[in-house]
Amino acid sequence: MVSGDRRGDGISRRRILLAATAAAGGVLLDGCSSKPAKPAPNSEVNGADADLLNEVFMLENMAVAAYAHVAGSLTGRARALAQTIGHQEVQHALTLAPAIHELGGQPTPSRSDYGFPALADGPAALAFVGRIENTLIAAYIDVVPKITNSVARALAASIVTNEAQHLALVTQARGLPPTPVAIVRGEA
Amino acid sequence: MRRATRRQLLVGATAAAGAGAVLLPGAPAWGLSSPGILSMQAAVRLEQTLAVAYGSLAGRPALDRELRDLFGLLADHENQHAAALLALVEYLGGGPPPVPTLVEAEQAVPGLVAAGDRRSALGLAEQLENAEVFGFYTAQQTLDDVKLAEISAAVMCSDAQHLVLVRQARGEDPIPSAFETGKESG
Repeated sequence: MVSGDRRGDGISRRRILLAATAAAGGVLLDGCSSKPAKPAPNSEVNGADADLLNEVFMLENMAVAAYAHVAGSLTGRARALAQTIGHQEVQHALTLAPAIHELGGQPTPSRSDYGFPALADGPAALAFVGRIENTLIAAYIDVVPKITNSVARALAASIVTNEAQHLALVTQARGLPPTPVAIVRGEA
Repeated sequence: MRRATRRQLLVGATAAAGAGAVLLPGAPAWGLSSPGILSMQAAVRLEQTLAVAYGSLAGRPALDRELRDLFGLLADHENQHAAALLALVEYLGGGPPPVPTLVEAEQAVPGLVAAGDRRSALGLAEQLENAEVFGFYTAQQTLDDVKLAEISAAVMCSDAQHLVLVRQARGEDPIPSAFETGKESG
């Protein structure tokens, strides 16, 4: 195990990588259903880091639901893009869940209904997921500096960069400049 | 002042801001001196260098208009990254590093002078953006200062978006992985 810990709390880099690989499979986003990862021996858990990762985990679950929600409103390349991004959101969630367990936390189960609005058409659907991506980025930018475990922080950093890429592609699909700002903080 | 090697420039510096690595070993501190300020100044210097490099690419007639526009955008963003990081340097009591000249940028970024066609220019850009993302991603794991971690994360996200644009221009999958870490420069 590789502890990336700056304060003695353990989270296995290998376990994260394994989870990321496994994420290519099915969808299992219910935190209660996820098999808890065994904390590393002789490591201390860090509840605060687990809570921080859980914050973004809940948003990832929302994003997965959001991309499923917009699928029916999109066609062609926009639909393919949404499917690709939706799959990557699944990978994020599936990787975060075991990381939260390892830090001593319990991933919050995804909701059965997020109360998403009805979407009139493709542009509305893309605007909707654009807001979701902005929300995700803002949450990660807030959370990343607060995470003390270096491996957990690295995981979150590798995800927020991907979310920023999603935002660029969704914005581009809306016919707008994909990278309008140089300092990407998202919008809460 | 000793010049940075490419590896020092791209890997050691970027966001080594905060990680303690220094872009320009032996370089004087521009203003007050401390390891944090030095590494931040190095990151500013790196962003300035890339801005000059992209600005150079944006002005090359051999490249098509679309590509020159892309490099112009990247140059503008790198300048904004430098300004954002410089604001932190000044907040910490440091002074601004001198803006690199084109000659200095050409010496710091091997391949810049030779990037005369679409393929070589985009290849260089992808390498630079990958290295930037990797540098910030690596630094994220050790940054203790919340403000610094936050701004470097926001800059890292911008560089990740640059990668999307460059990959698209190269005809590549813009998001080949759900976990973007960039790549260490060889």
